[in-house]
Amino acid sequence: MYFPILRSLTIGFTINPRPCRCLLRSGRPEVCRMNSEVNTRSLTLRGTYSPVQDHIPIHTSPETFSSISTMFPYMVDSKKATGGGDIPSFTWHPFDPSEPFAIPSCGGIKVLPLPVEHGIYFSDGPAIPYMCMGFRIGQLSYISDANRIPEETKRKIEGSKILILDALREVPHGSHFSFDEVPPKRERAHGRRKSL
Amino acid sequence: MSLDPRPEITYWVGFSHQTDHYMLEQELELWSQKTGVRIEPAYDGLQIPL
Repeated sequence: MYFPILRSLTIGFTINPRPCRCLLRSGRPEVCRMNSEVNTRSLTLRGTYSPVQDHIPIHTSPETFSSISTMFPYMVDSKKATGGGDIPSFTWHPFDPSEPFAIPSCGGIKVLPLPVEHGIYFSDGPAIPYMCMGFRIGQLSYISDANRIPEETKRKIEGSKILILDALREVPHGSHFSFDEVPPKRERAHGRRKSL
Repeated sequence: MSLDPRPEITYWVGFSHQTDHYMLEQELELWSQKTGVRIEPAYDGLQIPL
């Protein structure tokens, strides 16, 4: 999903390869998501034609940056490419998930990370939630991948006029809200009056 | 989770292929009318003025 923030200023959330001033990366480096990032290479290629843009800044959590560096090293460092294929030109900007950050390529617009639970780590011992990032920009909060929103993050969302939430399907899922679990519906299921 | 103040609108995103967009749109519209809580399914090309 892409939000035109100003007339010519677009912030992308890593789905479609469209020209943008930056990408905000929510979390898990699944192969399907990484493919969408690889597809953005068409924007930065230097061949017969001038590239649409020189590079794409990507803002992401340190954990996601570390995972991507391990799984897809050439995405972070072009010297680690092993084939003849084209690779995208990214600049990586890990942010502190507990603090707001500014995006220089977007006129210094401020973004507040929204840590949310997105499934669990499949390891032995007690279940530890995998934390994914939503983002708040002004009065808009965007949470693309979640199955639980912690209280602390809820407080960060409060005051948003527009809320965008993950809602996968009717049937429950391990890491996404199902339709009956998305907070407004969940409130209904529990018979509470006050909801989103 | 309840938010105070409540957002003016909530958009849902990330549907699986099992979802019929138009049926979901109808269901949410009925639900919104009943509860006064506005929820809509997002769609490709949706533009949100900020």
